[in-house]
Amino acid sequence: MTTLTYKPDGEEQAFAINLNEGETVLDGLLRHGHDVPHGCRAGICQSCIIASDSDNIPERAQQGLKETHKKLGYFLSCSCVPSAPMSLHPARLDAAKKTAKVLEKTHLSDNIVRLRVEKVFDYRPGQFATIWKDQHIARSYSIASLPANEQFIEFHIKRIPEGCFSSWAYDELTEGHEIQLQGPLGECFYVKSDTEQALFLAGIGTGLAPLYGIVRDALQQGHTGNIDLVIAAKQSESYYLVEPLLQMEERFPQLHIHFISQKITQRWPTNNLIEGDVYDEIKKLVPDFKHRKVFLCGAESFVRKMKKQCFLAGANMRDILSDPFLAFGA
Amino acid sequence: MSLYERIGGTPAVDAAVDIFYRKVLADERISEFFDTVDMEAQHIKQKAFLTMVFGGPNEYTGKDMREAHKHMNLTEEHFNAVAENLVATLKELEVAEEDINEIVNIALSVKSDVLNQ
Repeated sequence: MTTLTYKPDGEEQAFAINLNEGETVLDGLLRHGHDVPHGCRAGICQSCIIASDSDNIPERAQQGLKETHKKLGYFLSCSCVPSAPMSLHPARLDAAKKTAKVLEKTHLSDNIVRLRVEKVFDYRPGQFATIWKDQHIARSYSIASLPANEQFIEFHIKRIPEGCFSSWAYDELTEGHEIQLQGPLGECFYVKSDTEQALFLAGIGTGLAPLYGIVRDALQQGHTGNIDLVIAAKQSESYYLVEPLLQMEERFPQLHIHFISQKITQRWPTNNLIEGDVYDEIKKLVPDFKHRKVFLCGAESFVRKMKKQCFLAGANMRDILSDPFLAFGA
Repeated sequence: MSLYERIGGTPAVDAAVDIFYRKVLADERISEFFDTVDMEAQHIKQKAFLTMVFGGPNEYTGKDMREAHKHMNLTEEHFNAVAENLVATLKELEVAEEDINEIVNIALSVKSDVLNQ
């Protein structure tokens, strides 16, 4: 008999689950009266996904999952018959709020501000966090810093005209201020597996923030395969972080950055700024997505359209990771 | 050895699902039924479908099939288009002729439920 512990959302304590011989985790949880969503019971539909902190998740229980999900300890409870104790909890846990002090606030462009706050949790570059202005108003922002070498968490916040959150962050928030943070969230990040695989990253607007983190993370973890980073914008003047990006490109020969803008509005220091439609230009840049790992970040409509385009051009569904920025309800 | 084991089980489904989904999305006769906002959810559905026609473990019943497709007003042409894409996928993966026939037979066995006949 194997004994597991299971801590449902909103419970202080974990419950003990005694599994019968050959019983799956799903059946054990259901038998003990826990409400776990499930469907096919055959390892296909993925509706019974739960998570474990233990490092002994049977391989079979993670078959067909994305690498990032495996890394987060997700597995299919219907396909898991463990031989050793495991501690379990529901997947996509809503992280608790933590208080973090604002360490630094810098304007990156006319309408983007960079916030650096205390590192109150560990994360993977590419994940995001929710910042609470007060009890009622919160927004999610991607994390642009690297956990390994930076002792702060960095966010890039774009000012939205009349946006109640971004105006507050832009005008009122000051260094030394304490904010409530919830995270880390999201599944769009680099996992070291095949360091020679070609990577393709595309983002629009502040979609650059998570991609910036993911690229630096990949390079730091020794990725040697070709890396194409596409940054799309309506007008070339809205680009930010251009200097550090160009320096990084110079330092790493495997990295190729393509700025694609609908309209070029100023002189550009290098020859990697293209004027045109982002979807058409990407088709020209990368005609074949077979064997490529794809990361897409930014406005939901952009991410959705690119996801289909990359998939139809040969990328495997499992190799497409994305972080669509959803509009928050008021 | 069962059909499902012969063609390679879960890894075979994994290999087939991307090819199949890409084909139906690009097929104008039926793409509207597959072109949904949540590509991941749709991908999982295709995987369940392929597992079934490959003779793998599934809990589909004729009633589920009928319910799921009832409101789509599907015709013979739609069904044939899916079958063609299925066969093209299997050929691309070099599945043996007799296994392809067996898979097509499983697909045909749910035809009346899918078309609500």
